[in-house]
Amino acid sequence: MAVERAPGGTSLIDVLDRILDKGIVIDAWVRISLVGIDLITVEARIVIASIDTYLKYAEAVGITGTISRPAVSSGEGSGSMGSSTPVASRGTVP
Amino acid sequence: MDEAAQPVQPDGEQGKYVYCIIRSESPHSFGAVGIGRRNDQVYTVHYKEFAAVVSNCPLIVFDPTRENALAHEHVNELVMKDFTVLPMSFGTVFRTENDIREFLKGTYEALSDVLGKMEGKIEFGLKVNWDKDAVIRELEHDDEEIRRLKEEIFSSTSSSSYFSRMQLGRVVESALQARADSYVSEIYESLRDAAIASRSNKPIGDKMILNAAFLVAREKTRAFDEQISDIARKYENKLSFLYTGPWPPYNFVNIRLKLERAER
Repeated sequence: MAVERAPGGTSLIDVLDRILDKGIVIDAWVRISLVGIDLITVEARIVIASIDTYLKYAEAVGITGTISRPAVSSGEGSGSMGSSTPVASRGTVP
Repeated sequence: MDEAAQPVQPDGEQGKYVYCIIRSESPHSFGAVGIGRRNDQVYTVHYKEFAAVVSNCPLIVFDPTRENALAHEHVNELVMKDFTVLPMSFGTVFRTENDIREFLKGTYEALSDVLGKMEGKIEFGLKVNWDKDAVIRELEHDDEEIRRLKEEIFSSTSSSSYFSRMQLGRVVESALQARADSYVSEIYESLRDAAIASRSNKPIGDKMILNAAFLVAREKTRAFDEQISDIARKYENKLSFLYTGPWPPYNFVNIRLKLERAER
């Protein structure tokens, strides 16, 4: 059985998973103020807060330590919520 | 042009929606596929050798509805056919072309650096699911300790089985973890030659053991396809593969921008 490659736009989940918080990201409150502020007249400008590129290939051993796997027995907490997406940096909203 | 293609001009202020950044000095048009259902032309705004791919739009904060999200992605896919793209995250709207040029100017060095790194590369997505119940049955069959614990539980009628059950749960859990880990590292290992970089995201739901993105040189697309097919064949009946792309390199670029008051 060969695996078919599905074009990007076929799964909404896959799309949202990428476009909402990855790539070139302007923090939400800036996004809102851009709509209200003319950059030139207010003399505000957009600057880089951080740049990351990820050009490493997974190390064969220990790679799965960073992803959480669901606990098998429901009695034991999986503790998987801690490692979610890095939206924490949006905490700068005034 | 037929009438349906005429853009509707709603009242209110207009802005520019930005989809991605490319390297190009000459103007391009990508058709009337702009976000917001108005058939806005998608075109380029330039600063030096960079261009932002944009369309006119109402000056609003866009909601990531299905239609809007797919429109954003669709434009990126169109542009990606001919260019290396640095994708913008969803919903970036500027007021004017001048603001966009200011933005390109202010981030020029970063864009130059990151576009250089992404040149000629595209992203593929791979999600791998397993049939956990089948794996558990397999473990019960293969693993001696699990077999022994099960027998204990079945043969004992009283209190001692409580402890055995707890232990069985733990043993099964760690055996599952170990098996998932070994599948995952075999998959990574077999894709290593065809990919440049990989990122693993959190699996979604309890059947998923791998949710990864791979950065691949465009000319290696076919080799990567073949590697995926090979592993899919190898694990047929055990794992199911959801393979997607090409995508803009969303998982390999994260540039965060903020607004700063200009000092004069």
